[in-house]
Amino acid sequence: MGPDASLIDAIAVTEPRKASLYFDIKRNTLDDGPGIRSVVFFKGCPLSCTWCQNPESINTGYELSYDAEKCISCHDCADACPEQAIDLSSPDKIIRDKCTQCFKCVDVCPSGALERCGNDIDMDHLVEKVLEDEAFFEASGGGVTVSGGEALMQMDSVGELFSRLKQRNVHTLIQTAGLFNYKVFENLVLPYTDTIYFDLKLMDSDAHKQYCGVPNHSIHENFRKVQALARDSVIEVLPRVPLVPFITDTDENLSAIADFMLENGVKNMQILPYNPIWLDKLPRFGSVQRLDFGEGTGKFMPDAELDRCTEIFESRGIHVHCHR
Amino acid sequence: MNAITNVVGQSLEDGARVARLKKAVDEATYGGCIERAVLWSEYYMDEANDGKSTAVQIAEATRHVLANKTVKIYPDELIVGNFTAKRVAGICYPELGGLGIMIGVDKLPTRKVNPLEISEDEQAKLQSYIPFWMDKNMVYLAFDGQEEQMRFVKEQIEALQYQLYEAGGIAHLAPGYEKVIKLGAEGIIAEVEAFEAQTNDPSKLDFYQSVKISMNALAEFGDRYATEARRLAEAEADPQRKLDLERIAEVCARVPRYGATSFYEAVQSMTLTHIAIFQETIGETTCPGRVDQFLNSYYEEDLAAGRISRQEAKDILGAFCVKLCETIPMYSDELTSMLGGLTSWEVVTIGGQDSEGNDATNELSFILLELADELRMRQPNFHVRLHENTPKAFYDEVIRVNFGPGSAPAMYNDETIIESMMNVGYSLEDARDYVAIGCVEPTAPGKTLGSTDAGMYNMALALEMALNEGCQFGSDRQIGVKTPPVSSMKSMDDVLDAYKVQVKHQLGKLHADLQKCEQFHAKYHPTPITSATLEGCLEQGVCSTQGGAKYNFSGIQGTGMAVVADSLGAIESAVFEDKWLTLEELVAHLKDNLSDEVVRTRLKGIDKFGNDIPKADAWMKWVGDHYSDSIHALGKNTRGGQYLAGVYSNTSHTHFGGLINATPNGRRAGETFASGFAPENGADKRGSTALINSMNRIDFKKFANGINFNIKLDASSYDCDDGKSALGSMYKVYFKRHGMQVQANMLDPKILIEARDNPELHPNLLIRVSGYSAYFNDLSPEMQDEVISRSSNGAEQ
Ligand code: SF4
Ligand code: SF4
Repeated sequence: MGPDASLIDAIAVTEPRKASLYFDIKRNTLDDGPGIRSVVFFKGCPLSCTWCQNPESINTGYELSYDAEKCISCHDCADACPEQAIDLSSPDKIIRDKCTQCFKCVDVCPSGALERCGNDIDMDHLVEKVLEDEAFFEASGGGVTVSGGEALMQMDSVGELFSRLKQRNVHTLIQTAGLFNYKVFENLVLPYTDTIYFDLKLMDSDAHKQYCGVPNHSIHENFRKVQALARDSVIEVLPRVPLVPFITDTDENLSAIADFMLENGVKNMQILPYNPIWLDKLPRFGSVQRLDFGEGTGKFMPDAELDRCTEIFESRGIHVHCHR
Repeated sequence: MNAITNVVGQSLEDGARVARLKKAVDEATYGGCIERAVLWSEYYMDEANDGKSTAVQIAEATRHVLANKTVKIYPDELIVGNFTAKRVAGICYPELGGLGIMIGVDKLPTRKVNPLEISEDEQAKLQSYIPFWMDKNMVYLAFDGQEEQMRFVKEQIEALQYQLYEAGGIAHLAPGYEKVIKLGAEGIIAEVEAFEAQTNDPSKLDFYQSVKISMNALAEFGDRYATEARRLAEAEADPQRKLDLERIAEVCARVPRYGATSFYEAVQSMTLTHIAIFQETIGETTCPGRVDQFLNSYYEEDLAAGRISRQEAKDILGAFCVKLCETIPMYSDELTSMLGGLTSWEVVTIGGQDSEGNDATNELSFILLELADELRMRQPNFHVRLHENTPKAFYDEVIRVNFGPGSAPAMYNDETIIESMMNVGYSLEDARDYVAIGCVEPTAPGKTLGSTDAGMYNMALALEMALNEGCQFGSDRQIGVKTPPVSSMKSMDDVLDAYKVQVKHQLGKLHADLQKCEQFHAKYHPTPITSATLEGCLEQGVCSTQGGAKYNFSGIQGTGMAVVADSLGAIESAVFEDKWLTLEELVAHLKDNLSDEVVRTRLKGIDKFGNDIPKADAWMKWVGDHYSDSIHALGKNTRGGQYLAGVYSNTSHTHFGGLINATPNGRRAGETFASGFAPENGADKRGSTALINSMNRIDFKKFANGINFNIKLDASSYDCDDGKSALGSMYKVYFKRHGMQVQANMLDPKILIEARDNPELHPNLLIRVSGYSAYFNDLSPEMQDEVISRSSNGAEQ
């Protein structure tokens, strides 16, 4: 058992929620699995990667988001706030310590500058929402992807959602960071899952703990198990590696991941080019930037870099998918 | 007679010749040509022609033009025929709407939008005919008295309530080229003579005589090209070109005089007939139609007999397509703002089903699609018909051609269109044979005078007037009916009642003016060549302008539908449901051009059409249904056909939008409307699938004159195998649920730059990053630039 066992147990004993906590549903996506898909972004994640492209997804509670670009300075929010937690003259606008997340300000904001991040939704509504594009799933061979955060922090919800979707023959896909209680997963979710996109980030467990907040043993354990399922054709698995300059994209790390994949019989994998847009989301939640590697922090990766990373896998006979 | 029996071995050079023709036309300066105006005037000024019947005069005037206009055969040409004396030029029709052009002709070469080259001598010559046509032009003859004439001209120029294109000529039809190709002018004359023998009716005999004069003129027009080709052949040093020219001479000696005996002759016959129709009356939006259908038997026979190869057929069709670019409209500045660009709307319709309902896609359909892809020129407009049994290979090819510079082919759903046509009286067989006219208008070719673009109507004006007692905000000009003041409107129904009254009143006016134009055409501008090709005219002995064709319609387009729908939705929500302001307050804000940013933002935040929100979409359906019902309620046109509702706008949405004050949907005065049947710009924020779900809530069968749904897509998202297949599925869903038409506007990376500079235009652009949740508009300017640069790099690769 790795040192992250307690965390896994903690996830496992979490009381089943009556509702699912999500922060977004994105329709018409083409990059989150086959065909036209809708993606449910669940909120909450046991990891806390410094480069997380959806930083608003990590926290398991609600959050208040403020977008200065949209604000028309009408002051309605400040007038409505019972806690005097809004000071539009201050640089931060929202005094996060004072905010009790009552979201009265969101209700009055005319511009959408203030938004509530994180909503509870009951299963009927969730199913209804993701099925808005059912006709497109059917025509394109698409379906529903759960992402996050870590969707598998809410396995009751995902299991229930997928079982309802499978009744309608909708393709289901999980994007996971890999830290979840396998037993619960096997019972609740696996029977209704078609495909797993499984992220591997850093092979060195200390580095993993440093950058992602937790060690990686349990993740790798889970990876071995789902790969075994893939080999038995129970489900499809596509391992993915997010490329973060100087952190995950080093020759050393990628070679180690590639070898680990080979050990587990991986034939296809996907690299996810570094996405700098996450930086934009930080100020809206009053969060601080935890990652800075100079100028490249705000840039997409050059093709030459992607070629180098691709080659590390291809040279071992693993086919690399990559959306450039 | 020696038919061309073998074109194999000609210097076709696998498409290189068509590429050279394209280059010559692409590089030509756009001009205005006075030749038709001069010759037409000459004929009418000659007193010897006074006292002849109108039909005979038109036929003889057309003959005078065809017999005396410049005949040109350009280098490399295989298909010959020149619309004007210049390579690419517009024609002026003094007896129709040309007078305005003649008066302002000196401005044409230097105007900012669509300048046309025309020398000072030509300008002077053209202007010398102004006095003669002052009391013989369409407006003068159609409207009684100077006051009415002035009113009509003023209103046409202002184009606030509506604009009537039928005032400039009818066109907007697909002539029966199939018939000319098959019978030739001589064959049609024989047909006329048979009918003549059966009647003593002087008006019929008069019409028949006009057709015979015209058909002889058409035959002789071909002879002129034969003569010119022979002359050039004699002087030609290059043996290969000499051979070409000799063949052209042989072909033109046969067609359009006689029925075509080969694919080559068929295309040449169609070309010269097409050009002749442009001399008879305004030619813009005279459409070749289902070229792949009526040419297919010629192609297959030639192919089977080894007389032609696929590449040769493609080159001949390519030459024809390039030729269609040699004509441009010659519009006044006012019309240019409504009709924008220099399109002549010569539509080639590809694919679809035959009159029995079987798939009719053939090799020529594929060839035409390839040409659409390779040529990417202003003309022709390629419109593709799709149905359940469209072959997958063809559909894939259509999707592929969606990408690339210029406009993508418009796609039509046979199922919805055929049903909408049958609803207004087409037989099943004829509906199955439909072609698209102009922008999007379905009609049965060779048997319909659809006048599909009779007029454009500004729907949003009715709403403004409903909120201001029949006047525009800040004006006391009583354009509409004096409906009750908003202070007395207590419910949504009160608002709708006022709106309905204004629509009815405006359409009533439009109808009265349009009927004057119809009567002008019937009385003063018969069209014997066109009519000879249309089923019904010869049989009945009645010109198509007088209702001789088998089917008769007039199409009227509504512009500003989404702005009205979203505004009604906003009134309902803000005033009658949430009650955060009163109707009077709302109107006060509108009169103040929504300068209160908070109010404007709140209004903008109310649900809009195009987001898969049933309530907002229901307003769009209400406005559309009401419009369609109102048009149908106008009754019959003077040709005995029904008025049909269409929803497309050319560029009139910008023109009309420019004249309308602030609207309750949060739009400020002067801002453009959405084009055609689309959500207001930037109002659809939930992506293409949500948009299509919204579109599918509309009952398109009510719009037998067609709709235009222009879907803006980020090409970089779809220009890959996965993307193309997703795109193909998206259209399929839309069609399966009774969508009518769709045309993609592929923007990349321009769309991103546009979205950065005008965030309101494209709020729904997704960032294509897996597992990432954000729209492009949510990004900071720096990050937007970063995304743009990534996308541009991608485009170069
Ligand atoms: S969420 Fe409530 S407490 Fe927090 S800023 Fe808004 S109104 Fe104030
Ligand atoms: S209510 Fe919204 S728009 Fe108004 S000041 Fe607050 S954040 Fe800005």
